[in-house]
Amino acid sequence: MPIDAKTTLAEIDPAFAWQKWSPADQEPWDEQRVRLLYRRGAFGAGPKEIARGLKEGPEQCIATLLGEESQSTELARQVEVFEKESGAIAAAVRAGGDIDRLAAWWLHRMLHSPQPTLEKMTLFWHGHFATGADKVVDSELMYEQNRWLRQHALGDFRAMVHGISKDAAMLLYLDSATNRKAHPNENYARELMELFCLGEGNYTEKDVQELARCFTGWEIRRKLFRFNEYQHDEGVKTLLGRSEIESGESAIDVVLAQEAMPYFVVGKLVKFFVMDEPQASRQFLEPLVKTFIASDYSIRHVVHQILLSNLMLSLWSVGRKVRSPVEYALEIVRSMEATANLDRLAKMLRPLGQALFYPPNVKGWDGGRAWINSSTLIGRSNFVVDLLGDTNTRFAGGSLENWIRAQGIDSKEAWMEWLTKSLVAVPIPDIERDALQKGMAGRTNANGWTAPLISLSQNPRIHLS
Amino acid sequence: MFGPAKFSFGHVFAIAAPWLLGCLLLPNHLRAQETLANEAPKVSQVGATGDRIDPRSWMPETSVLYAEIAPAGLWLDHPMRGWLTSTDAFKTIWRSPEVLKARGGIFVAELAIGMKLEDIARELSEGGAYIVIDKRTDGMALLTKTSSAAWLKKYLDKLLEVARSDAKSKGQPDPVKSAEYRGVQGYQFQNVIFGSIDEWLLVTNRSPLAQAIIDRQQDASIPNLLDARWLDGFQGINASGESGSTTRVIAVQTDLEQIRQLDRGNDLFKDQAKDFGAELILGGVLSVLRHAPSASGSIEFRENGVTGELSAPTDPAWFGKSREHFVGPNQSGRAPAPLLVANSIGTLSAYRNLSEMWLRAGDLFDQNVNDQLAQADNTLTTLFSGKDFGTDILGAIEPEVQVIAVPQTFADGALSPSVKLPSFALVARLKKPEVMQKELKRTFQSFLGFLNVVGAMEGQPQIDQNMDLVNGQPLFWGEYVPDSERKYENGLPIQFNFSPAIAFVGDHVVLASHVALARQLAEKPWTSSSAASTSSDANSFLNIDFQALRQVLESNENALITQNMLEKGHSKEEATKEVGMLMSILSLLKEGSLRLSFDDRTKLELRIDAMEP
Repeated sequence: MPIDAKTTLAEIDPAFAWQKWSPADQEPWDEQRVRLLYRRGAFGAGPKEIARGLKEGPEQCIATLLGEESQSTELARQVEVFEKESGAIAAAVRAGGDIDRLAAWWLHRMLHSPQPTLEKMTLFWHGHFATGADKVVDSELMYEQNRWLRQHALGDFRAMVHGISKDAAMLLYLDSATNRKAHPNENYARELMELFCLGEGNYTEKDVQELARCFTGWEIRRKLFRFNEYQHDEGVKTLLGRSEIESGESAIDVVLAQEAMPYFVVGKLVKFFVMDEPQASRQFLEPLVKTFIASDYSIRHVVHQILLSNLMLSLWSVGRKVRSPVEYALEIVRSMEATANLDRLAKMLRPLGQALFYPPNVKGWDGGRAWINSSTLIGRSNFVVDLLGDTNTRFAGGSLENWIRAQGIDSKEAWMEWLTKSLVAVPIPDIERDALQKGMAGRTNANGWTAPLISLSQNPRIHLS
Repeated sequence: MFGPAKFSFGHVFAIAAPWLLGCLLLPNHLRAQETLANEAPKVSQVGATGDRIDPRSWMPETSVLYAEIAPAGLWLDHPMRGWLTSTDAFKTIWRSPEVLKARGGIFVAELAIGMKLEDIARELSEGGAYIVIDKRTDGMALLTKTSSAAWLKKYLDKLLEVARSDAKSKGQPDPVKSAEYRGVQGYQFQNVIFGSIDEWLLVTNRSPLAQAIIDRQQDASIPNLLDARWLDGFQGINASGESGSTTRVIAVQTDLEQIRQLDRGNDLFKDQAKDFGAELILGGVLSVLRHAPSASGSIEFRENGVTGELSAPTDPAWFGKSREHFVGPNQSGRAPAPLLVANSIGTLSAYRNLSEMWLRAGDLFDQNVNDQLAQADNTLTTLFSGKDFGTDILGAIEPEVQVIAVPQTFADGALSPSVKLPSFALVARLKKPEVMQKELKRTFQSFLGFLNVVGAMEGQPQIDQNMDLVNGQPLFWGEYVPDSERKYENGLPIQFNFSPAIAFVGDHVVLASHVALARQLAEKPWTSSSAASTSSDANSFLNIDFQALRQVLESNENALITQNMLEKGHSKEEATKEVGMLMSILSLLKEGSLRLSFDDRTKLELRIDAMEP
């Protein structure tokens, strides 16, 4: 059964939704689909990547995004070179201890990594296992957590949860650096079940208390995790219906073994990649959950299936997400092969509502419609003005005008067409197109080429993905 | 053409010499074969063209800045040019992609005009170049005295022809507008208005200014810049330079009174620094800027270097009591002679009565700064065991202070900080050494203890405290201890650049960021550096050894490349090239100095010496 834009989620057969999409006469592998994949699975793409994606076809395009060829091909060499370069930047940034600069380093990865989905997933986990530098303060701990998230971003979810449960930044952020048997700290225990693994309604208050007892003796000392056996509660605990739990590690395994866990995790991934609303039902998630369990909780397998699914590539998902500030900023930069002052770019994300390393609270960013309000809308438009006005911003190493001409664009109207095609996911009605052209004519920029982009940044449709 | 034209004053660069117009043109005109060079007369000696017109007599009396620039031939034929172009560093820069791109553009322009850019520059400015900024017309104008009226006419005709045929080939309308005013033909290309008056080329961004200049050129009875009092005493490019061994290439004078009126909101003219640091560096200069009627500047070439000077007439009354901390009583404050320290990057020596400045803060700063200083005063008073920071601590040292910087060396293969900072030392004389040595020692030890407590709370490395006797006088220092459980795969944290130390040498105190520098200063008798003669009678004196500075930058090359990548978004290759270019430029320079002095004139003198040929 074909899926079109007007089909409601309830009308879509879950099995068909998550089946592999194949091109057909009515649904060809085209530029719009390549752009969609690069928006959702990466941070946008420039003309060369779009052309390559078209040539590659859907499966290879997704493999490229996921870096699945990294074991044997040219990509492996690119990854090695990039990691060496990024490591050198990280070393210098860590020496200075400036968290804002750490954000610039991460933006460099998002813009230039040959494995863009890995960075996108690292951003996803940063919002999932939200930890704020405002409280942790220590840039080294934030860096180490970020490294851990990236290392497991597409790996085994269970390994990631075990690691994050002993992560110094996480435990400091949740006031859980000390957990004594006389006063078990319930913060991490609660968030592990509510926010990280199961979701509300899948545990009781008693489970929180029992899980907190399991974590007694887990401490952070001198920025490192240690187990203080003298402060561990050796008594019998019953967690989620299971008793005789020997350690904190085995308690985490009990949480991970809950039936709700794969639905919770897969549901968040679907929300991140496919649609802000509505929330998918358990039944709708079933095919993905089966993949998750069958692959031994491999995140990569689920992400791969989502990106290559009928639901994604039928274009049903187009316009069903609001671009996050990071996506909005980097998609503009990457689509025009731009390079910019990354320190400044990192700071410019703050007024848009998504400062890297500074999620608003342990729940992370709400996302969806919450990204947009009167303040962030103005901020998004100002972002474009600031980006274009910065003398450090270059386009494939040169001026915007030269870059535009290199694309074979020779008029402002053609430039506006290119921008709408590249940056706006949904169709723009004729009346709005006229307004854009008029807005463009009213601008008095030095060379006029920036006006269409500034004008477009004020159209609400640019914020949909 | 000399009718109204609206241009922003910010576009002053747009009126750079019109030969740059050639660079804008495209290769369609490579066929232009007629060369102007062949028809140009031989370059005559500077200033020997006979008519002796003073360009100031053509410029409006409402001007607020006047500058003279020596003929291009003087710049191009300087002995340093030969040496510079033969250096490896220059060759590296000359072959860099950025320069190659610019050279390509110049080459195309040269082909189009049929003359070498260098030759055009020589011909255009044979009798010098003169710049004026006019308040009434809000315009800026450049007058250059070319080699001859015939050559100038040919050059302009060629330029206009190239611009017009370029536009024609693109199907665009004539880009050049023209008009006549009092017999002078003028042209406008984009934002630039230009025309010739005999052998003089006039370029401006405002047509009323062009008219004003032509009016005065034709009617000597109209008031002109020679009538302006603020220009009294102007020393032009023909004034003899320092000891007659230098060549003045730029001379400029400005009407500060008018500029103050134009820019009332500028903090520079408010006589009040925005923050403590600005007052420390500029305090006395701000008093001068607030009152002086004019200011002048010059740049002079020496055989192997460049000298620059900014100066303004000065009245001691302008400083009053409030800036005595900066200039001393009756402007008597003098910087101490810079100490000779092996391999130093530089020394800053100055007269600053820090105690007086701290206590006068209420007069010098706004409420916001004073609130912050009051808070700092409380903290520092606590840190200094209840002693008043302004009176007892800062008041314990004489106003003659100096700061020395040296590069740090780290043994090959040994664990070292990933970012390598130079070490610094503050040297000052104690008023009561017998009392203050004990106080400062105790305070220093408390300070290290405080750092340990704060560091422990934040998981930072701890400091081990040590003491030694050097030449019979105590040296106290702290040393960061690496954490034995950490691997430091990316080098030691930045703190390991520091080993804070305090040493007492005679009646002086040395407060250093690293014990090695404190020990170096404590071990050997002090002698003044060779810069001492230059620094005598200066209020503030800074000297820099560019090769030592290069050494520090080279040891942090990776960090600089990284910084460049993040700040400019460059690729690693681009960043490496840009940092390499910085190193190449530094390798051409030997040493430099900046000297601030107060007398009947306030003078800021810059001197840069190139490496020996």
